[in-house]
Amino acid sequence: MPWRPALRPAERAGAILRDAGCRGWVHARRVDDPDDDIGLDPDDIVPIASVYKAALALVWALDADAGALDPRERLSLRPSGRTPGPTGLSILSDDVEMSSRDLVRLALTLSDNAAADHLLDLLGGPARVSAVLAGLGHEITVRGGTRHSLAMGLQETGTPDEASYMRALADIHRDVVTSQYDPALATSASARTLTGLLADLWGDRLVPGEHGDVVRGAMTRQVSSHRLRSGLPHDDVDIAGKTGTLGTLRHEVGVVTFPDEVPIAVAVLTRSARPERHLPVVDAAIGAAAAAVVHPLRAPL
Amino acid sequence: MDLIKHLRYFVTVAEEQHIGHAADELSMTQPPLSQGIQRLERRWGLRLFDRRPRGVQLTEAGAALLASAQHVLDAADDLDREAGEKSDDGRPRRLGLPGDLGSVAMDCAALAAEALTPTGTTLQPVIAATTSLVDQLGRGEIDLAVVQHPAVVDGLDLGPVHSLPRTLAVATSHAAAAAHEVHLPVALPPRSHNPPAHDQLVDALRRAGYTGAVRSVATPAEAAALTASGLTCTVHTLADLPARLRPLAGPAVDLRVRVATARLAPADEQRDLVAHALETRLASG
Repeated sequence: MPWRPALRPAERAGAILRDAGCRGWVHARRVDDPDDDIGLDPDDIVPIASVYKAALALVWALDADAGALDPRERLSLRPSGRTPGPTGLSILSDDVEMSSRDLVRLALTLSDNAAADHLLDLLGGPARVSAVLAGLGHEITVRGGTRHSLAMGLQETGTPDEASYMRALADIHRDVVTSQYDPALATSASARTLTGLLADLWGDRLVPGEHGDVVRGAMTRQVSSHRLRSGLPHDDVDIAGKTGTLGTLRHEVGVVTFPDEVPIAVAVLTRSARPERHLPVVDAAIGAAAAAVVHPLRAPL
Repeated sequence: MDLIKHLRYFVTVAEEQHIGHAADELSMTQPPLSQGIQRLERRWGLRLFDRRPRGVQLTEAGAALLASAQHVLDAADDLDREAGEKSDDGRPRRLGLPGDLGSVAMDCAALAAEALTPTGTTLQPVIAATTSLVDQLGRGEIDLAVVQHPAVVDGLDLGPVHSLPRTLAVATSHAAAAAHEVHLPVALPPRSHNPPAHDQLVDALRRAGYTGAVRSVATPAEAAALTASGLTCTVHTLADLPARLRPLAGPAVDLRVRVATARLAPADEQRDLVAHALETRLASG
């Protein structure tokens, strides 16, 4: 009889997320032990929005380790066709010359849409990235980067640009539906798959060296701190995370490290009933739900 | 062997005491009825009837078994009837309505009942909080519901979102002209009735400059009474605002609702009639 995790922390996480007006999918485990875990519908496939950039970064690190790409090669990035977004290269007007390892840093710390799309192109596109991840046992179906997701969304909502698309998704008077909410059509993964990916990065199994450090270091420096961090606001606890946000989808996956303890990988994926762009109640609930499942798993090194 | 059918032959022949009359009664010809009786006699290894010149007569064994055979047939008839009542045609349709729909709930119930009248089906309204209606739909306890939007609604099929005009209201004697001048607590249904819609409503009041406390009350009647007494303000549907309350322009607090059914619920014409009536009523605001 396999060991079954206690249900109570998962139920608590579910109640926290429901109270914040969302449906939630949660999974947490120590990076060294996939079997002692806590999950709330952890195997449901959910659209992961920008969380996929963490998976992209893992593939980049593997390619760099294998010598398939030179992480320092200077890339000329033209503004034409640059993916829009709120941060990083996405807001720049002019040519940029940058290495791929710095693209990784922008994609992870700022969730830079343009940087991530450049990386996706560099790594061979959605099919190859999905295949590499599948080869590692991670079922993360990449169906396109932000450029693709945006193009689909504009078409489906009949909006001319990113700003009006975002306004359409946030319309409180309608229920706006896009393929980007559909796990069969958008880049998607389960919460358990995402913690497995983080465990691979942190367990030093796949990318132990310099290139893994670029990814781990950038996730530690993520500027967003309103989700996982809000539930674990302790200065001596490290959190390396990656958020994902699109319309009603609000996610964060991360690795929580208490001093002298085994790092814990946690994924909290949500879809809120309210469509508004700013929902601090949901962001805080993601942190509280993470705390509810992380604490019971803590163990000394 | 179809035992129920053969028991019916047995009981009918016993009642008529004549194969020909029994065959008429059963709307069949005589030979298959005789063969049926013979099959039953072979199955049980005994004679049920003695053949006489002008009919048949129950044997002692046949007479002893008759009551039990009749009992089995009665039970089978009861089972059929019970199943028929459970089937979609006869059963009342259960319509869930949120408690804070005001007079629109009454409209919805009346129009839904009217839509069902030609089919001979009755309507049973169920008043509950949106979170509870969603759960009841998921468990198949109600056929359809009007639920608030937004709400966490996994596993439901949903119609379009309809807006019902709603307003921040104070007692007619209250001096305030705008939301930011109201310093009374606002009486609202409990947040647990549907947290996302509640939070959205409170955010809209804050957006309009209202700074008062939120006071949770059990029923709309309580909210209206407290507000009429000058102790609170409240949020009320505009169409049926009580005479003692006065609307305050400003906050965008319209009530949003939609018609919901369980995803993968079996096809049901009566339910669809009700859904259509509800959509028509709600679309008219």
